[in-house]
Amino acid sequence: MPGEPDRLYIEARRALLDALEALKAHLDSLIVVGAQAIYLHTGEADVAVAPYTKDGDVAIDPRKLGGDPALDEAMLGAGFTPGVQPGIWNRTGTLAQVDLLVPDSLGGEGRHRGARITGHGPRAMRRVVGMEAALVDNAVTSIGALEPSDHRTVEVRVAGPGALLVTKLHKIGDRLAQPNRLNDKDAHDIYRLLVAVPTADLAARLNELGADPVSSAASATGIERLRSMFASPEAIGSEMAARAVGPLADPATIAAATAALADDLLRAIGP
Amino acid sequence: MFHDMRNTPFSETELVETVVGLLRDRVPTSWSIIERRDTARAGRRVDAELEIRAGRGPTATLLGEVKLTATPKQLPDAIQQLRSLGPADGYLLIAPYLGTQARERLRDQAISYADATGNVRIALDRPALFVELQGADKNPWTDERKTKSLKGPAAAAVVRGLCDFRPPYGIRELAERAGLTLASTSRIVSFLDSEAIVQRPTRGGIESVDWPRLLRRWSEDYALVESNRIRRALEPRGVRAVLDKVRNTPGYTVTGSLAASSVAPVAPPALATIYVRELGAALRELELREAPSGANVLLVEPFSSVAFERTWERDGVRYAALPQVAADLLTSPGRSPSEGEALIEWMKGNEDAWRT
Repeated sequence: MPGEPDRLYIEARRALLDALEALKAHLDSLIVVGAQAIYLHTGEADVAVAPYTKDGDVAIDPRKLGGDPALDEAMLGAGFTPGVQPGIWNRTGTLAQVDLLVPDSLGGEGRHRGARITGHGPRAMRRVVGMEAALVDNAVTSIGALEPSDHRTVEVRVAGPGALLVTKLHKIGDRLAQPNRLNDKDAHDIYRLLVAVPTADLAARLNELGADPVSSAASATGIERLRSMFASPEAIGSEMAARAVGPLADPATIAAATAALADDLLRAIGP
Repeated sequence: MFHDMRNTPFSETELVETVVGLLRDRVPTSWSIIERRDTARAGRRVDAELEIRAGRGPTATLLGEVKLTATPKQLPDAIQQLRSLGPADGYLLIAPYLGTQARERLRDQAISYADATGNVRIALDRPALFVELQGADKNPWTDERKTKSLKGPAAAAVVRGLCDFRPPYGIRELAERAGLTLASTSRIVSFLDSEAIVQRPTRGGIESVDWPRLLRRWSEDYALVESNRIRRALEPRGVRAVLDKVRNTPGYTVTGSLAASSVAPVAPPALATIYVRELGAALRELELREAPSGANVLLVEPFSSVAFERTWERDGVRYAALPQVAADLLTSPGRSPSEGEALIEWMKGNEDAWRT
């Protein structure tokens, strides 16, 4: 049975709401992505690993983003402090952080890690490969706090499961090149998505992403990684998902289930 | 050598005396038969030696092995034992009863035999000696056999009846409710009486049943995975998804952790154990994959239809009777036995909820 949400997770949600409030003027260009978006889709039932994250990831669609206020000024004004990398905003006094992310192909001139978007500071947002999918697969959702004393709710775009699958697959694949940063929890988040979302729904979203010029390249890479990293119980992604489970679940079951669902999805997408 | 005394009223000594006495009665009076017990040959113990002398002819010595049971399956070992005793005029197997098959096999192997019902065949080349006598064609001691275990469907039905129905009741009533013959019900209850699991102050009536002990005793002879036909499968969306599939679908009865957790939750169930009518059809209908490793579903085709009896329903899902669930958990791997004990504790405190 899922217990109380983790304290860090509560703080992460509070920080996310703080950031969305600070960026209210730009709300239409924001899309909530990452672990918090995944938990919004998957819920918490029947998964042996408690939801856990300290991040609030927000994708930004530069095509819609206006210049006023500048993102960095708005974040500073709301009490966030810039992190070591561009796009990281720490919530003062907590471990929570909010990441402002721009799809790599829309991140402006040059190859800097910080996106170059007119009207905003060069360290306000970070470029991320694969994030294009969030701009195509999303839906307006109401997000509330996880603590009873906080009554805020925000209507904001949240990435759909197809986009979340693609962005997670990019993240895992990128970290695979740096083995020290292998993150089993990200693989387990993929297992969560595969379990919670009907295969036909996921397949339709991935095909949609493949058909849209903004996201087709990101989508193709994601599907290729799903095939190479998850389609068998012995594949690295399935094993990572299994390693992330706690003592209440059988790792072999998680590995087999991840592979079976990934295989089903690949078949449903078609060649 | 340990002898299984289960099926016979004899000790080894009594058996040898019976067989030799029978031979003496049936051979011509001029013959002499001398028996010797527990001799040694080439360092090996011989159960019995028989010296047979026909009139003034030469003496034939047979080396005998005594078996208190001698099923065809046990014969090869006995034959090998006899031959290992070294050279002799002949080898003789002595048993309370030798069935047709056993006798045929011994004849084929040129081993003489004698049973206590009078089936005898002694065929020697040197000295030439041939005795063949006809005894019983059925084991006369079968009916004497006492139930010594709770193996099999009849025991399952009686155990479930004794758990599910609150005494007092008579054996006849129990037999009727369990759908069994009076004889087999009576045999099983006698066994439980001897184990002090049922109390029968007056012969015939069952006054009380120590059902927790009965379930634990049953789990020594019954085991979910060994007693039934099973198939391990995977539902990639988890055990709760399996519950949704069997909801309002006839032919499926849920046992194990999922059933126990519906009354006495311990931990989130990691395995869905489901009784089905036919394994292959269930696998297809529930759209499960067979999974040699990582299975989270155990499909079970029960060896006794009692698994499907006195089931109960909640939220459209049919669950096995709690005594069945407890026995299944006690005999499943992993943390299941402790879940079974927890369920039994709950059942003790809530007898009205499950016992009629």
